[in-house]
Amino acid sequence: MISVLRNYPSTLVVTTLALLVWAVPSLGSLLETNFALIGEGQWWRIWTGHLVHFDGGHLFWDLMMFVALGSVCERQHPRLFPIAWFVLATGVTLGLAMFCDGIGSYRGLSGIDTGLFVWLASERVFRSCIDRERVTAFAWLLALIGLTGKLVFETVTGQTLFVDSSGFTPLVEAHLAGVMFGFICSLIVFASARDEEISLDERFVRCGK
Amino acid sequence: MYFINRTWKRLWKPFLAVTAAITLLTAATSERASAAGLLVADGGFGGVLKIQQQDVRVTINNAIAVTQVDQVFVNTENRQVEALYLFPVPREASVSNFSMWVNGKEMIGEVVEKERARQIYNSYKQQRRDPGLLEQVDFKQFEMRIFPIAAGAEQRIRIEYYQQLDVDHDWGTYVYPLATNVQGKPIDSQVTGRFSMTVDVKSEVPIKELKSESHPDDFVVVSHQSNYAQASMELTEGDLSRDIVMAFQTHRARTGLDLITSRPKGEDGYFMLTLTPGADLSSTSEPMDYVFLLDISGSMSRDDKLTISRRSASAFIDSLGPDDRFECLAFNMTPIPLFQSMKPASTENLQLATEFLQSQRARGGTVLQPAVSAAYAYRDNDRPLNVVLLSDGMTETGEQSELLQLIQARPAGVRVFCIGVGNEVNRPLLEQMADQAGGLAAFVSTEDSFRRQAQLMRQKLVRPAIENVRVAFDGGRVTDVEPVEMGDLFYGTPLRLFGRYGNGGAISVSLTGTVQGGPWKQTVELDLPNNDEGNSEIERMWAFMRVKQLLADERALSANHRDEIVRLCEAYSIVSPYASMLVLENNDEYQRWKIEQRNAVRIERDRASRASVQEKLAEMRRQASDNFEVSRERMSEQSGGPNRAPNNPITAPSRPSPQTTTSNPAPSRGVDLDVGLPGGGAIDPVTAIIALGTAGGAAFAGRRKKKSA
Repeated sequence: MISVLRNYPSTLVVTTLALLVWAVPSLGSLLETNFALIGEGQWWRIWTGHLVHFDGGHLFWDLMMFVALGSVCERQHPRLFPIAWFVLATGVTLGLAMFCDGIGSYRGLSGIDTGLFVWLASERVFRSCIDRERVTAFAWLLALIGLTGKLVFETVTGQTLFVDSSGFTPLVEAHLAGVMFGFICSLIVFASARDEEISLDERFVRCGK
Repeated sequence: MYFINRTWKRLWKPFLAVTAAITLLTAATSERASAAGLLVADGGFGGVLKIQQQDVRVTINNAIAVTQVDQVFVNTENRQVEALYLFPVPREASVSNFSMWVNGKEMIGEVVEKERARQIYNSYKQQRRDPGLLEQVDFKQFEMRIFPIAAGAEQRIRIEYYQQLDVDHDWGTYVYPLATNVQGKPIDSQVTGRFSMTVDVKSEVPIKELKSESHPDDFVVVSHQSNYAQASMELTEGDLSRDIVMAFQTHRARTGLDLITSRPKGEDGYFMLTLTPGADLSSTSEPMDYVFLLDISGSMSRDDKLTISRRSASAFIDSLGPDDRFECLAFNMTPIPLFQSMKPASTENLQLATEFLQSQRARGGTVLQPAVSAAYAYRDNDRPLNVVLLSDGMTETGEQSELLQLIQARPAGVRVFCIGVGNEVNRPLLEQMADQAGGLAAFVSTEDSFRRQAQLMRQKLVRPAIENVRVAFDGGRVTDVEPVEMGDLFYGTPLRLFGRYGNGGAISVSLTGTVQGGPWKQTVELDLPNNDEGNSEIERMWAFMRVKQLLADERALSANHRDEIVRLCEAYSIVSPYASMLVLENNDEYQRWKIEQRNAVRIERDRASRASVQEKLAEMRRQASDNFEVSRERMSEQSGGPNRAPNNPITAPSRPSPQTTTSNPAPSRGVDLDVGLPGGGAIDPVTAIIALGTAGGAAFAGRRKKKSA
């Protein structure tokens, strides 16, 4: 337990908070991302809305994915992970505010989940390219393309695949914002990697070979 | 007897040559009683005629129902009689016509200013030429008297009325009210000959199902297209003792606006805009408290109303969620509680509630105030309280204003929902109570499905509403929009707006409201046609709504809109406290009294419009039956044949066949809206499993790399 606390503190905090908010339903309306109320000064909702969920099914899938991806990302970048979480949370909320006019409020970790997945997969693609592991790079790239393709399909058709959400409107825009900011995170992390001595240009040159 | 026969022989020819007067009065009860009493005293013949034949044709166009009832009465007695026929007022109905056949010719009623109508009517009465009287007995039922009908003679009549149908959670319900009591006794209800009913349903929103809740085995239901369905029934010696309830389900996946229009040549147009909540309006997981107020006063003993109440309350409690709590209060003069506290909706408590409801007997007067005050006392600060009143609303007139004040002074977080029970129900009071208490009124008929009604009502309670919906128009010279205040949009209950427009073409419609405390606004573009003669129903409905609004204004502000109301009533044939319907025997009589026959003209146009629609519908039926094998199979499935399970609803084909999609009666003019309701990022199981697999793969690869290093 202590090792879990030591290795995954941010993942644990976010998971605990999400479960706590779920256990006390009255917190939901205080913490959800409500754009009108953010405009009135309740700025904490920019981040806390991601910890609130509509129902058990919504919480289960969002949190399960967060725990899995968050623990992998945090294990690899323990210092950057909490910063990346805030960047992703802010980016997803910003994306929704810009592209979802008709939506009054937002709940859920899935935008951040998508961002974490893109961060992880993009970084793997970069690293595999550097290490000349083309099959691995291709496999991660395929996963990224699959996710992006699904999101593009959902955006174009206006239908969500595999989601049963009678209680709320599923927002593809949250996932698209997650993709964008997850990719930005991976670029920043990749660019600032200290354990690599070669320049960024050289990395791409090697990756292209 | 000799005198009677002699009088009749002397008068029947002049009578047939001069007068057939039918007056539809909706004014004070005393005046109606006077007219009816005079007739009985003057004639003194009495007698209830047998209904030989009854044909009902219902056209439901986007939840506006036009009902045309043709009835043939026969005098089976060996003397001339005065006929009395009563029928309950359908909900929100506006009687647009009453016709009698005299010498084989249909004579159509005309609405004229009330005092003038009475003056004309009295002039015929004094000449003992007083063949018929149709009157509305307060808000509950119409009463029709026809005099004289000779021994063995037949008398054909036709009634037409318009109504907006109640729509709950995509289900529209049409009730043809038959089960009713007159002075405590059930109306004789047997047709000696044919009883037929045809229901045509057309809708801009696709129709998923059409079924009869009350007579599932008697109706043949056919879904011709996704936006047109038809049901018909024909019985010999049909039973008229039970209401006929038809239900149709339309489905709108997303909240949206649907527009239908009517524009006669050379006139300004009419439109009906329907704001329908879609599946995108979300539920809340907030637990709630419910207090069920069960009226057990004496008036509930009639018409099986107490039984309906018991079953409705049980079905409602059964539909509650595990975190909800409830209490039951039976009341007549004083409230009688079941638990005296809020209890969870467990099986055990439901059983106790059922036993409690079953033990109640209808007796005593109705005093609602103590019951409503007692219900308020159950308010708990941590959750909203819904007071659900099951009653016929037959409270003392003096108490009504105090009751409305009590409703207005309710504690915060309390909503009052009214369920009107049976056909004999004080609808205006229950609606006003629910309106003022931020709730809704629903009405349950004897033949309704209680479980379905309970589920629909509960969905409205737990679903969030768009509050204070307002609509603004830009372009089209839109005027006279009714209602001015649209109110709140509840899940499952569309809001309808009627209005007029001067210019065809594109207009901009802006909707505003409040969603979960935040402002919501959306603007959409719609097209108004320059010529549209297929929906004349909405013309009368617009006028009916306008008259209702003007009358409400008069009640609220003591304003005087009499002239405008009379003008609208005469122009659109609407009976109101200021206007009555009069039928004279021939056109010469109308000319003699200088009564412009506007209703005759309008009815001719309405019928032409309906005939045109019927032609299109017939064409759709023909096209649908092109593929004979498929059609026959569907018909056999849908006609309640031996293979069909009882109450198995008929569903429209999910995708209309290609050859039938080209002939819709009117192009759909609906737009989806983005309602400012909760959105959420949702991870689906497939994506989650793939992501978890890749994350696991990453972790495994990392570990292997570490080991190899």
